[in-house]
Amino acid sequence: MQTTVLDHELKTHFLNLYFLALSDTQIDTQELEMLFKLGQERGIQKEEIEQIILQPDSTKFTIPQDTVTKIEYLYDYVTMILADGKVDEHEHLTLKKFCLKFGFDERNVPAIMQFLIEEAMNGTDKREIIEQVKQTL
Amino acid sequence: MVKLFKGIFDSAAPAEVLERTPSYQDFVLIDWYDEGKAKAQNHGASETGLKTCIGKIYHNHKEILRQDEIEQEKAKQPFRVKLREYTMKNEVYHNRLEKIKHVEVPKIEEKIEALQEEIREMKRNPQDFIGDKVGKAGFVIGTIILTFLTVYLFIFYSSASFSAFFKEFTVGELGVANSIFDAQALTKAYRDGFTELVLILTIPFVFLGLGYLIHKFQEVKGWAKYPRIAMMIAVTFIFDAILAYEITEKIYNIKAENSFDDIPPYTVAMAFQSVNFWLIIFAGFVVYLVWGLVFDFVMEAYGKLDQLSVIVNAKREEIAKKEEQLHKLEEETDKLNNVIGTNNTEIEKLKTILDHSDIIKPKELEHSLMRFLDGWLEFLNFNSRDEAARQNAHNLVCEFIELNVKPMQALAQDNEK
Repeated sequence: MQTTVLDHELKTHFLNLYFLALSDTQIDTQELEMLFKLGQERGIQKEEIEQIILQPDSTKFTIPQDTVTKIEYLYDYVTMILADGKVDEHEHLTLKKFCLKFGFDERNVPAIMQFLIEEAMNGTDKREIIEQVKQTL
Repeated sequence: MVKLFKGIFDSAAPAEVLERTPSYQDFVLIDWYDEGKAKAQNHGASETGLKTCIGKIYHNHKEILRQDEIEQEKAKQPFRVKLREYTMKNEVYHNRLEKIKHVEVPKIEEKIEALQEEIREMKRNPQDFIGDKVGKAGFVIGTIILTFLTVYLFIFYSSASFSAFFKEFTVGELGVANSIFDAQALTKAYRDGFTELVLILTIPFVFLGLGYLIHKFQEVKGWAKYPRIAMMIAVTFIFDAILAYEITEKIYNIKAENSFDDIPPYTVAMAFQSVNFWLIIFAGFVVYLVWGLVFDFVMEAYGKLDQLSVIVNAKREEIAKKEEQLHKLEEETDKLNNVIGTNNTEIEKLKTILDHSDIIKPKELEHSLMRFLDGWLEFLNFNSRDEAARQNAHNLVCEFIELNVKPMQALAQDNEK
């Protein structure tokens, strides 16, 4: 896996998703550890992730209500997991759980995931993704 | 290539999400010891794995409780009881403050003002309090007269004693004044010897002492004092008379020695007929009696002034006690305000927790975490991990509990006892 320097928004999105994963009863500790390692490999400081774990009340995050923000989060996450050019089984599973956590219909989740992964592989700009999403709302 | 369609991003029904959350009972029934061992194995007993697991347990506990309204309400109960307790305590403290402010302090201030007014009244009309008029002026004048009389008696008796005991009269010194008074009595006595000087200096105190004894006898109640007083006056008179006799005899003898006529020896009868004798008696004994009367008057005036001052001092002491009470009430007020302030902070904290936070059950959560740690440590033991790794795992969990669980436990602690 390659180490990349994350921009501030991407980092914030990842940390919020990590917090979300931590509080989700459906996400297993092994997946969390995988996310921990993923974050570290993508340039997030160990202390920043640890703070979320060890001082859980210092972080507050609520699931965004609008679809565009939800897609922004998920697209940033997919961008992160695709930094090594592939999506492994665990990463695929956590992406699915995030989609469900964000409240998307379970029947549509595979299509949403596929859309996000394909666009991220093509390197599509986030603004373009948002435009496409807006057209479906 | 995925084709997006209308409604693909629509939200699912909220019920679907809720169904996936386990109940609090499920969480309680987990054997955290076994869970600890299993997770340690799954995570290779890594530090990151342990951190992740304890964070997860905390979040799951919180999330499950949040979803379970009944359990959430149960978890909130100790905090509600604590909130009520603080509110009731503050109510009691507020009532106490009101009582201090509106009843106790005004009552004490009123009492202080009344005592101060009494003192002012005592100074204006002392006779109302000690049943007699006290003349401070009388006391001052009496003291002045007494001082001068004392000086007079001192000079008179020291001089008369010198004349009687030691002076050698000459023909040129036979005047009345010269015979009683010698302006250089002290100088001459000093020249004659130290003990003579001491005798001359101390003799006046014999008379002053006799006068003082008369005053003390007068203070005794009953008739028994009068014979004693009479005896003291008689003793003084006799002493005075002896001095006068001695002086007049010396004068008489000088005159006899220098006379060509045959003069008979000096007798008591002759003394009683001598002007000098009576002059000495009056200049000494009568002044001594006057001194005694003035001394009595001054002591009596002082006693009354002292009596008044004792009463005033007693009132002042009472005022000081009342002021001390006021001071204590002020301290109590400060303390109560302090406690009320601290309680208000706690009340705000509890309200914030109850209104805006998801409550945890601190004891249960601590128990789950400690059982999980036991399981984790058991795995470490079984796999022969070093002591440092076990200690590290133990510290990590304890620090987590200290930071995230104990504060909540402390907030509701009193109610759980």
